[in-house]
Amino acid sequence: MARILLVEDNEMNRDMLTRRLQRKGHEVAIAVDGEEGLAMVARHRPDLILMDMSLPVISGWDATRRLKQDPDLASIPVIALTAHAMAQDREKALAAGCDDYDTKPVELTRLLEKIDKLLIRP
Amino acid sequence: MTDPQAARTKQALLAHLREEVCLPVELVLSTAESLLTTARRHGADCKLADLERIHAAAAQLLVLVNNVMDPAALAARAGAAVETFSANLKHDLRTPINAIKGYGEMLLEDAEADGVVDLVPDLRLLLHAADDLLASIDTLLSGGPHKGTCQGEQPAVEISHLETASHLLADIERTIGSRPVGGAASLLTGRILVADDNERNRDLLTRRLERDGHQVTAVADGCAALDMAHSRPFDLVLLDMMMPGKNGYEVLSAIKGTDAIAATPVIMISALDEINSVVRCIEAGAEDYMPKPFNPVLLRARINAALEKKRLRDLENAFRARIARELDLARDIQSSILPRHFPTRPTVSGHALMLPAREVGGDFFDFIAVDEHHIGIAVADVSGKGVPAALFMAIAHTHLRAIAPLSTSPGACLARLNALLAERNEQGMFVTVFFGILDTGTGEFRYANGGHNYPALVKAGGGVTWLPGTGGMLLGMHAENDYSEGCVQLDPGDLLFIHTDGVVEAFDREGAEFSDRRLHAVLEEFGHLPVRGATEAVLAAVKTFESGAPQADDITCVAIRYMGT
Repeated sequence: MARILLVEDNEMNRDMLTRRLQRKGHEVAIAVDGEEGLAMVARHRPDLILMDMSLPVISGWDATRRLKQDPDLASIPVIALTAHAMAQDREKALAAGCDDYDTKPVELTRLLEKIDKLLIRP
Repeated sequence: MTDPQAARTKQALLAHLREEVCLPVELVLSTAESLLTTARRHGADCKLADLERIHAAAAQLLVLVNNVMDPAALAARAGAAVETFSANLKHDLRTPINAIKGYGEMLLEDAEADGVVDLVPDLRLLLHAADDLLASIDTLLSGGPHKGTCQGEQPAVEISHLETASHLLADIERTIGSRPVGGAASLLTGRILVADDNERNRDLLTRRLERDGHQVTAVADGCAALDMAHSRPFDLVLLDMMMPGKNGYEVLSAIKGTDAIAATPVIMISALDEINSVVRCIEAGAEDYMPKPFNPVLLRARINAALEKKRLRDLENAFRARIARELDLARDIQSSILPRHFPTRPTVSGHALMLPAREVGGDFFDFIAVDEHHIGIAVADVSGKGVPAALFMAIAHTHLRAIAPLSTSPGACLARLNALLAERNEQGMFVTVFFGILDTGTGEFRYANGGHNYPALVKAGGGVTWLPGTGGMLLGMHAENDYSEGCVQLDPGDLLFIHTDGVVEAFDREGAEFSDRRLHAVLEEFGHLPVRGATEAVLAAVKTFESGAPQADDITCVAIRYMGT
């Protein structure tokens, strides 16, 4: 299975999603803000990043933008997670370079499908 | 808004929106509490940490929702852009919902895999409530549900609705202010019937009430509520105002119109803050009303108050029933200590008739065979009425029966009786006694009158006279009284009529007294009748005179006829 980095500042949501992904066989690393997230990506080179958008220190938008500007890291797929369910959020996420987008509350099956789709991508 | 109709409509809409958000939040919270209780009861400690997280998230939701309705927060937001405000609120609410759903689904997977089924129904309810809440939030904040919530693919929200929604929120905040939360444990529990067509509301109420220890029966419409109320006893009925079939007011009226269930307290539930409907229901017999959405503390307090009142009423009714049973028994005992028949003597006939003003009375009479040729005849009236008089009557009567056979002197008998009564009489009760002894061979009647009404002598040849008094004091007050005697010779056919003051002091509706004069007239007309007929004629005359006015005092009539040898 995949090595996933979950960048999420809300403790409960972080704990919950980590455990759910682990149950499905994924290896999960966590970061609590955008800055730590960027550091973790550089250090661990995960297969995929789940990025909450409203993060402290460096927001999910900015963190993603920086990742996608780094040729070394740009190929790591990023799925944006946001509690905003607005049309412009999705466009904003895609514009920032996110490979996909999902809303909270997370529907696990749907999220897993998106993860799988991005992982098998050539 | 100046048009009152429009204002009412708006108010109803606001109440509805409030209900839409608050109900699911409360349902989520109460389900989380219930899950924790279940897990603790079953020792499922491994689930507690996650359940506590769910509970914390639910509590956080409630705080957020309450903050939306906080006027101070509203004022601070007044300058903020409408879109930003709504979007942020929605974001804030979705974060705890995400945790609740995630942990809930995880626990459900575990519960199903482990075969721990106790948590499954509540977990399903929790997830259902969370989805419900999500839909409500989207409706409230965007003016309509949108597909993005479920799909995550097409978050298509009409921004234009946000402004309207925001104004509505502002109105909500102004209208209802901040809502207190928390609560004390309910003290009383009972059988409660809940009638509400809104399934969520019904579930929420049922769960809340069950958690407080009540036995809850829930129905979805007015007709079912009425059937249920008829089919078994309830301590309390919670009736939603707006229901299909029969509305709350109709059900309330039907309950209050049926004697068997009219005493069941009813609390109305009204989503509309319509004071007129509430007033109509209270006038129709509703105990109280609850506006929706429920403030849990207020709900508990009102239910407790209604149950407390019901309990006191039930206690009072039980007490009344017990007193009534005891008084019935006392009346039977009292009537059983009085003689049923006049002693059989060829020369004398006698009849007595007694009608207490209350269940038990203070009058008594007796016929006592002193010896072969002497019959003692007593009629007495204890001061006061009811139970105290009845007790004193029993004492006086018992003493008299013990004393009377010892002497052929009625005066000596009354003196002895008086001494015995005065000896132990801290309450200062007293009794008037007329006691005479008839020589059944000669017709000589010797008597003593202790403060009693003068009996009448109806001569066989016509004419009614009062037996002269003997100057005796009423009995029980002073131990040293003497009682002198009077004597009258009865001729064959003569009738003695002895009564208590309930006869002559009967009142009609205008407050006029029956008086010696009317008794005299009745005896002149009917005194020639056989003894029974004579007593009944007097009673009939008294009842006719009273013409429905309540009987003022116990009534006793005794008639004795000497027929000669």
